[in-house]
Amino acid sequence: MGYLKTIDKDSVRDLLSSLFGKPCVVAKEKTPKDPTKGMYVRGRFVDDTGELVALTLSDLPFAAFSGAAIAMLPPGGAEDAVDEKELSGTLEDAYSEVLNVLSRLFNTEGRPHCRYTTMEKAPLEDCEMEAKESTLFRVEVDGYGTGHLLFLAG
Amino acid sequence: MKILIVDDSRVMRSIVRRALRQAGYGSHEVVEACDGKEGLCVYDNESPGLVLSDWNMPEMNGMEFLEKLRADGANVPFVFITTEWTPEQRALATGAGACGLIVKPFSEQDVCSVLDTYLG
Repeated sequence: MGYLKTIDKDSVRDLLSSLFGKPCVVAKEKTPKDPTKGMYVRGRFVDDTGELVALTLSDLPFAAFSGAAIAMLPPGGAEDAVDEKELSGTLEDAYSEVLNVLSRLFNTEGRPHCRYTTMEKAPLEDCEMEAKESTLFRVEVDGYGTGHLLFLAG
Repeated sequence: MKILIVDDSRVMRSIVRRALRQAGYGSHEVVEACDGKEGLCVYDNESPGLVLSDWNMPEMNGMEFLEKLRADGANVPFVFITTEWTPEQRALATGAGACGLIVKPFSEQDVCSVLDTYLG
Protein backbone atom coordinates (compact mmCIF):
# COMPACT_ATOMS: atom_id res chain seq x y z
CA MET A 1 0.00 0.00 0.00
CA GLY A 2 3.05 2.27 0.21
CA TYR A 3 2.36 3.51 3.73
CA LEU A 4 6.04 4.35 4.22
CA LYS A 5 6.45 6.11 0.88
CA THR A 6 6.41 9.62 2.32
CA ILE A 7 8.04 8.82 5.68
CA ASP A 8 11.56 10.21 5.63
CA LYS A 9 13.89 11.77 8.17
CA ASP A 10 12.50 15.24 7.53
CA SER A 11 8.86 14.28 8.03
CA VAL A 12 9.75 12.39 11.23
CA ARG A 13 11.89 15.29 12.50
CA ASP A 14 9.21 17.88 11.76
CA LEU A 15 6.41 15.91 13.40
CA LEU A 16 8.36 15.02 16.54
CA SER A 17 9.89 18.48 16.94
CA SER A 18 6.44 20.01 16.71
CA LEU A 19 5.00 17.43 19.11
CA PHE A 20 7.67 17.92 21.78
CA GLY A 21 8.16 21.65 21.21
CA LYS A 22 11.89 21.05 21.02
CA PRO A 23 14.37 20.18 18.28
CA CYS A 24 14.84 16.57 17.26
CA VAL A 25 17.72 15.26 15.18
CA VAL A 26 16.71 12.36 12.95
CA ALA A 27 18.97 10.14 10.86
CA LYS A 28 18.05 7.16 8.71
CA GLU A 29 19.78 3.86 9.51
CA LYS A 30 19.88 0.47 7.87
CA THR A 31 17.13 -1.90 9.02
CA PRO A 32 18.68 -4.97 10.69
CA LYS A 33 17.85 -8.49 9.50
CA ASP A 34 15.94 -9.14 12.70
CA PRO A 35 13.91 -5.96 13.15
CA THR A 36 12.72 -6.91 16.64
CA LYS A 37 16.25 -7.20 18.02
CA GLY A 38 16.79 -4.60 20.73
CA MET A 39 13.26 -3.28 20.31
CA TYR A 40 10.99 -2.81 23.30
CA VAL A 41 7.60 -1.46 22.17
CA ARG A 42 5.41 -2.39 19.23
CA GLY A 43 2.69 0.01 18.05
CA ARG A 44 -0.10 -1.34 15.86
CA PHE A 45 -1.87 0.60 13.13
CA VAL A 46 -4.99 -0.70 11.39
CA ASP A 47 -7.07 0.36 8.40
CA ASP A 48 -10.80 1.10 8.53
CA THR A 49 -11.64 -2.61 8.31
CA GLY A 50 -9.50 -3.30 11.38
CA GLU A 51 -6.76 -5.07 9.41
CA LEU A 52 -3.21 -4.55 10.60
CA VAL A 53 -1.42 -2.48 7.95
CA ALA A 54 1.59 -0.98 9.70
CA LEU A 55 3.72 -1.27 12.83
CA THR A 56 6.28 0.74 14.68
CA LEU A 57 8.98 -0.87 16.76
CA SER A 58 10.99 1.25 19.12
CA ASP A 59 13.75 0.64 21.59
CA LEU A 60 13.29 1.51 25.24
CA PRO A 61 15.30 4.76 25.05
CA PHE A 62 13.11 6.17 22.27
CA ALA A 63 9.91 5.18 24.10
CA ALA A 64 11.13 6.60 27.40
CA PHE A 65 12.65 9.82 26.09
CA SER A 66 9.83 10.65 23.70
CA GLY A 67 7.22 9.75 26.33
CA ALA A 68 8.90 12.05 28.83
CA ALA A 69 9.23 14.82 26.24
CA ILE A 70 5.56 14.83 25.22
CA ALA A 71 4.46 14.85 28.86
CA MET A 72 7.11 17.46 29.78
CA LEU A 73 8.48 15.17 32.48
CA PRO A 74 12.06 15.63 33.69
CA PRO A 75 14.59 13.55 31.73
CA GLY A 76 15.73 11.82 34.95
CA GLY A 77 12.62 9.64 35.07
CA ALA A 78 13.19 8.52 31.48
CA GLU A 79 16.85 7.80 32.22
CA ASP A 80 15.79 5.69 35.21
CA ALA A 81 13.37 3.77 32.99
CA VAL A 82 16.19 3.02 30.55
CA ASP A 83 18.50 1.94 33.39
CA GLU A 84 15.81 -0.23 34.96
CA LYS A 85 14.71 -1.57 31.55
CA GLU A 86 11.07 -0.83 32.35
CA LEU A 87 8.64 1.80 31.11
CA SER A 88 6.52 3.14 33.98
CA GLY A 89 2.77 3.70 33.80
CA THR A 90 3.04 7.43 33.10
CA LEU A 91 5.73 7.03 30.45
CA GLU A 92 3.78 4.17 28.89
CA ASP A 93 0.64 6.30 28.64
CA ALA A 94 2.68 9.18 27.26
CA TYR A 95 4.43 7.02 24.67
CA SER A 96 1.06 5.66 23.57
CA GLU A 97 0.12 9.22 22.65
CA VAL A 98 3.38 9.60 20.71
CA LEU A 99 2.36 6.51 18.71
CA ASN A 100 -1.09 7.97 18.16
CA VAL A 101 0.43 11.14 16.70
CA LEU A 102 2.85 9.10 14.56
CA SER A 103 -0.20 7.74 12.72
CA ARG A 104 -0.29 11.07 10.92
CA LEU A 105 2.77 9.99 8.97
CA PHE A 106 0.93 7.00 7.51
CA ASN A 107 -2.08 9.06 6.47
CA THR A 108 -1.24 10.88 3.30
CA GLU A 109 -3.72 11.65 0.55
CA GLY A 110 -4.45 8.84 -1.86
CA ARG A 111 -3.69 6.12 0.66
CA PRO A 112 -6.25 4.11 2.68
CA HIS A 113 -6.85 5.66 6.08
CA CYS A 114 -5.20 3.99 9.07
CA ARG A 115 -5.14 4.66 12.79
CA TYR A 116 -3.18 3.68 15.87
CA THR A 117 -4.82 1.05 18.05
CA THR A 118 -2.63 -0.59 20.68
CA MET A 119 0.92 -0.95 21.93
CA GLU A 120 2.71 -3.93 23.35
CA LYS A 121 5.91 -4.12 25.35
CA ALA A 122 8.78 -6.62 25.16
CA PRO A 123 9.38 -9.46 24.74
CA LEU A 124 8.56 -9.01 21.07
CA GLU A 125 8.95 -12.45 19.58
CA ASP A 126 8.24 -11.57 15.96
CA CYS A 127 7.11 -8.74 13.75
CA GLU A 128 3.50 -9.89 13.68
CA MET A 129 3.25 -9.05 9.99
CA GLU A 130 4.98 -9.80 6.69
CA ALA A 131 6.62 -6.44 6.21
CA LYS A 132 7.21 -5.34 2.64
CA GLU A 133 8.56 -1.94 3.63
CA SER A 134 10.72 -0.85 6.56
CA THR A 135 12.52 2.31 7.58
CA LEU A 136 14.67 2.74 10.68
CA PHE A 137 15.50 6.10 12.23
CA ARG A 138 17.84 7.17 14.98
CA VAL A 139 16.14 10.00 16.87
CA GLU A 140 17.73 12.40 19.32
CA VAL A 141 15.26 14.39 21.41
CA ASP A 142 16.91 17.57 22.60
CA GLY A 143 17.40 17.58 26.36
CA TYR A 144 16.39 13.94 26.75
CA GLY A 145 18.38 11.40 24.73
CA THR A 146 18.66 9.18 21.70
CA GLY A 147 16.75 6.09 20.61
CA HIS A 148 15.54 4.16 17.60
CA LEU A 149 12.21 4.03 15.82
CA LEU A 150 11.40 1.53 13.09
CA PHE A 151 8.41 1.76 10.73
CA LEU A 152 7.10 -1.41 9.08
CA ALA A 153 4.25 -1.81 6.60
CA GLY A 154 2.72 -4.76 4.80
CA MET B 1 -17.52 28.78 30.52
CA LYS B 2 -17.08 25.12 31.31
CA ILE B 3 -14.98 23.12 28.82
CA LEU B 4 -15.23 19.33 28.46
CA ILE B 5 -12.03 17.59 27.30
CA VAL B 6 -12.54 14.02 26.07
CA ASP B 7 -9.48 11.90 25.32
CA ASP B 8 -8.47 8.38 26.30
CA SER B 9 -4.93 9.57 26.99
CA ARG B 10 -4.48 11.17 30.40
CA VAL B 11 -1.30 12.76 29.10
CA MET B 12 -3.10 14.33 26.16
CA ARG B 13 -5.86 15.68 28.42
CA SER B 14 -3.21 17.38 30.48
CA ILE B 15 -1.51 18.70 27.32
CA VAL B 16 -4.82 20.20 26.18
CA ARG B 17 -5.37 21.77 29.61
CA ARG B 18 -1.89 23.28 29.42
CA ALA B 19 -2.49 24.53 25.88
CA LEU B 20 -5.70 26.22 26.99
CA ARG B 21 -3.83 27.99 29.79
CA GLN B 22 -1.00 29.03 27.47
CA ALA B 23 -3.49 30.32 24.92
CA GLY B 24 -5.02 32.57 27.58
CA TYR B 25 -8.13 30.52 28.32
CA GLY B 26 -7.03 29.46 31.79
CA SER B 27 -9.95 31.14 33.54
CA HIS B 28 -12.41 28.63 32.12
CA GLU B 29 -13.34 25.61 34.21
CA VAL B 30 -12.30 22.28 32.69
CA VAL B 31 -13.92 18.87 33.16
CA GLU B 32 -12.64 15.63 31.63
CA ALA B 33 -13.77 12.28 30.29
CA CYS B 34 -11.78 9.34 28.94
CA ASP B 35 -14.04 8.36 26.03
CA GLY B 36 -17.33 9.24 24.38
CA LYS B 37 -19.39 7.11 26.73
CA GLU B 38 -18.04 8.86 29.80
CA GLY B 39 -18.21 12.12 27.85
CA LEU B 40 -21.99 11.77 27.54
CA CYS B 41 -22.34 11.31 31.31
CA VAL B 42 -20.10 14.28 32.07
CA TYR B 43 -21.97 16.36 29.49
CA ASP B 44 -25.32 15.57 31.12
CA ASN B 45 -24.01 16.38 34.60
CA GLU B 46 -21.87 19.42 33.85
CA SER B 47 -23.52 21.10 30.83
CA PRO B 48 -20.28 22.39 29.32
CA GLY B 49 -20.34 25.26 26.84
CA LEU B 50 -17.64 23.73 24.65
CA VAL B 51 -16.50 20.16 23.93
CA LEU B 52 -12.95 19.34 22.84
CA SER B 53 -12.76 15.69 21.85
CA ASP B 54 -10.32 13.19 20.45
CA TRP B 55 -11.56 11.15 17.48
CA ASN B 56 -10.06 7.67 17.98
CA MET B 57 -11.01 6.33 21.40
CA PRO B 58 -12.16 2.99 22.81
CA GLU B 59 -15.75 2.33 23.94
CA MET B 60 -17.32 5.25 22.05
CA ASN B 61 -15.16 7.19 19.61
CA GLY B 62 -15.35 10.93 19.04
CA MET B 63 -17.54 10.71 15.96
CA GLU B 64 -20.06 8.46 17.72
CA PHE B 65 -19.99 10.82 20.71
CA LEU B 66 -20.70 13.83 18.48
CA GLU B 67 -23.49 12.03 16.63
CA LYS B 68 -25.14 11.01 19.92
CA LEU B 69 -24.94 14.55 21.27
CA ARG B 70 -26.55 15.94 18.10
CA ALA B 71 -29.19 13.18 18.05
CA ASP B 72 -30.07 14.14 21.63
CA GLY B 73 -30.51 17.75 20.54
CA ALA B 74 -27.32 19.15 22.06
CA ASN B 75 -26.01 22.08 20.00
CA VAL B 76 -22.88 22.63 22.07
CA PRO B 77 -19.86 23.72 19.98
CA PHE B 78 -17.80 20.59 19.37
CA VAL B 79 -14.16 20.68 18.27
CA PHE B 80 -12.09 17.63 17.45
CA ILE B 81 -8.49 17.52 18.70
CA THR B 82 -7.10 14.65 16.70
CA THR B 83 -4.43 13.22 14.44
CA GLU B 84 -7.03 12.97 11.66
CA TRP B 85 -6.29 15.70 9.17
CA THR B 86 -7.17 14.63 5.63
CA PRO B 87 -9.87 16.55 3.71
CA GLU B 88 -12.07 13.43 3.85
CA GLN B 89 -11.87 13.29 7.66
CA ARG B 90 -12.49 17.05 7.93
CA ALA B 91 -15.57 16.69 5.73
CA LEU B 92 -16.83 13.81 7.90
CA ALA B 93 -16.34 15.90 11.03
CA THR B 94 -18.09 18.95 9.62
CA GLY B 95 -20.90 16.85 8.19
CA ALA B 96 -21.55 15.35 11.63
CA GLY B 97 -21.79 18.79 13.20
CA ALA B 98 -18.27 19.55 14.43
CA CYS B 99 -17.42 23.22 14.26
CA GLY B 100 -13.65 22.84 14.17
CA LEU B 101 -10.71 20.49 14.08
CA ILE B 102 -7.34 20.99 15.76
CA VAL B 103 -4.70 18.61 14.44
CA LYS B 104 -2.14 17.02 16.78
CA PRO B 105 0.55 18.12 17.27
CA PHE B 106 -0.79 21.63 17.72
CA SER B 107 0.64 24.99 18.68
CA GLU B 108 -0.80 27.72 20.89
CA GLN B 109 -1.68 29.59 17.67
CA ASP B 110 -3.58 26.57 16.32
CA VAL B 111 -5.62 26.45 19.52
CA CYS B 112 -6.34 30.19 19.42
CA SER B 113 -7.31 30.24 15.77
CA VAL B 114 -10.01 27.62 16.29
CA LEU B 115 -11.19 28.41 19.82
CA ASP B 116 -11.12 32.21 19.89
CA THR B 117 -14.63 32.31 18.40
CA TYR B 118 -15.96 30.42 21.42
CA LEU B 119 -13.63 31.49 24.22
CA GLY B 120 -12.19 34.83 23.14
